[in-house]
Amino acid sequence: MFEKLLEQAAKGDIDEELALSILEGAREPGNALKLFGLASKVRDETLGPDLYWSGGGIRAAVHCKIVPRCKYCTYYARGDFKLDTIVKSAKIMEDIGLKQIHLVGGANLQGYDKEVMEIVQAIRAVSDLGIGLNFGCSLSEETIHKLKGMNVFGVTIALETINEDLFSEAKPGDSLEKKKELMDICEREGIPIHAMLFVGLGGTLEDRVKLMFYVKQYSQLTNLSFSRFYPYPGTAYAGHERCSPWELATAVAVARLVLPKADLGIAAGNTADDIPLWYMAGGGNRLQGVYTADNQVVPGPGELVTRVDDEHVIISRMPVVKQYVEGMGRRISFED
Amino acid sequence: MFDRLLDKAKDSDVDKNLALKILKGARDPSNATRLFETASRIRDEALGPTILCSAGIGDITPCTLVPNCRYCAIRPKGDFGLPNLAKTAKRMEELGFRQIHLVGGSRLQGYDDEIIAMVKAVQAATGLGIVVNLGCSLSLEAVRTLKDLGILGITSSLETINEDIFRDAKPGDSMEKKKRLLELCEQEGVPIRSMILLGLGESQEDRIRHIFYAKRFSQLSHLFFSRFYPYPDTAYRHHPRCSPWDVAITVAIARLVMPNTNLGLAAGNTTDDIPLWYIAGGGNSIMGAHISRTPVTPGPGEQVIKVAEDVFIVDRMPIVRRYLEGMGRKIMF
Repeated sequence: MFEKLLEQAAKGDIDEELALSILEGAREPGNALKLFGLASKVRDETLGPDLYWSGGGIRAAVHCKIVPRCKYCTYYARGDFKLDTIVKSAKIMEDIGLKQIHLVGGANLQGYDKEVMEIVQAIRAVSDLGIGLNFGCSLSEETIHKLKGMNVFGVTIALETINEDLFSEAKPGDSLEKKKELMDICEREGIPIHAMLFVGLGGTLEDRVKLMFYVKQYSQLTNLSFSRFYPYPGTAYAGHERCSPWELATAVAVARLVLPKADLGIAAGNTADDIPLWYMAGGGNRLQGVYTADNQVVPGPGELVTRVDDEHVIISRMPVVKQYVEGMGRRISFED
Repeated sequence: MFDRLLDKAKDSDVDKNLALKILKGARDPSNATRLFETASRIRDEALGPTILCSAGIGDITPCTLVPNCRYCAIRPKGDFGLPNLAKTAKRMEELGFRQIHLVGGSRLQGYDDEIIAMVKAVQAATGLGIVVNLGCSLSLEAVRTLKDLGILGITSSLETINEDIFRDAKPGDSMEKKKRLLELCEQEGVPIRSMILLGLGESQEDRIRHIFYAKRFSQLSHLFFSRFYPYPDTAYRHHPRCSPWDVAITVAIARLVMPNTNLGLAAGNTTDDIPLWYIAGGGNSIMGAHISRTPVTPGPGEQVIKVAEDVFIVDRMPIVRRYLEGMGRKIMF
């Protein structure tokens, strides 16, 4: 029965109903292994088997002004970066060999157009790095239009969930509508869209499938990344359940059938230890190896620390990621 | 080519040569997927889909190995005391567990009297099945006494079969004595549990040799797989962290070699490793609770139960249950 579902999906003819049936059936490990086999084959045929370093993450580039704050998030506690710190971080990442960086958050429903433009221009003055932007729905159409000509390779719009009730509950100060509008703007402007699905926030399997099909409508969609819910102490969602890697892997595998050519990445709540199962499930082909952190952070095994200034460091987990990827007979490299 | 190796493994006994070829090929995920399917099918046929959860009480005896193991960050104090031990076991029984592991540090000169007293204390307070793991600290007489007391098994963890690596990593320990304990258990008909520490520096050949060494014991009931973690402040802190992939493919090979053996996860693995381990053919037992000697903040889906001032049970059954049930599996104690 399950194999017949996969056969149908393998023909490239997958609708929401079929995707949901596969996702429901994939809960069973015997089925999931067959699904993972197909999803990996699709990935290898469309993107190839090897992996690439995605842009280095410069996090908390601006303060998050979402009020009330998202109920699961600890991001608000991070301090602002000075422009000088951001530029220094970008240069260090370029020296490491990265070709791209991601500037990440926070968000401001009233707009961060001026601030983001200032950061991009400051980096542009010293580097040709490709820049990805993730500032929630803080950017106007005019800004997106201007950014398009500044080697901005994509805008991340993390819907997190397509379930409106769940979104309102978890992110009472944020706007699903504005996020969708920003996707429409990027589509119109021809700027690549990076979307995110937050697995384990709540909701149903149907919600996950709906989000995959929602983002599929955008011709500019290049990436869909999957966060895995972690209940951080001190947040309103501290008592919420930690999301299993299995939930993430099965969702990634179904997404591979729905979006064969999209980059399906892993985002917040995942660690290097999640790489093997994610990859086996059809994930790929980019992994983040470098990101900024405050100087209190304790590096994990195989991670390297580079000082940026008195308050910030850059963590490179490239050694352990490379070791894990090569241990699966795959290569990971910088893109040409 | 790889499919032929798997067909051969299904049709006949797997020898070392075939196991090594499969292990080498399984590095590639597309091969591993097929290996995992075969290994899972064998597990389901041999052991069924239900997973048994047990609990561990560690730190019951001090570790006196000198020099200490170069990767080890744990130096058990072993000042548990029989009343606290019995109380902790009782509390675990109240949580639903039916089996506990008594785990302590090693003493090459033996911990016979101590462990026998502890087993008796737990048995007086509970109806729990007991497994003992004190390195190679048991004599023939102790093994016989423990058997008479009805324990479920004795663990002797070689960690690696490679003698050079063993000497370098565990200069104060004795592989010979560990092997001797396995032989004593075999001779006395006591179920054996053993462990492989993956990522200590061994080759793939070493892993295969180790699996086949363990297979020779008819009493072998469990083989556990630890995943190396380079703890700060140890001599091995710069050693690479072992990938979950290494554990998964080794478990899958072990499933082909020893279909009826319980293949478990041990130190260095986390709850998040359960799905990959399980689809690789791991199972069917898992640790659902352990103790901490200092106050500890529970992780997601865990609860901490204070038993005494310096004894805390970390019960991770809520998250273990949810992860396994999320894969359509049932658990039992």
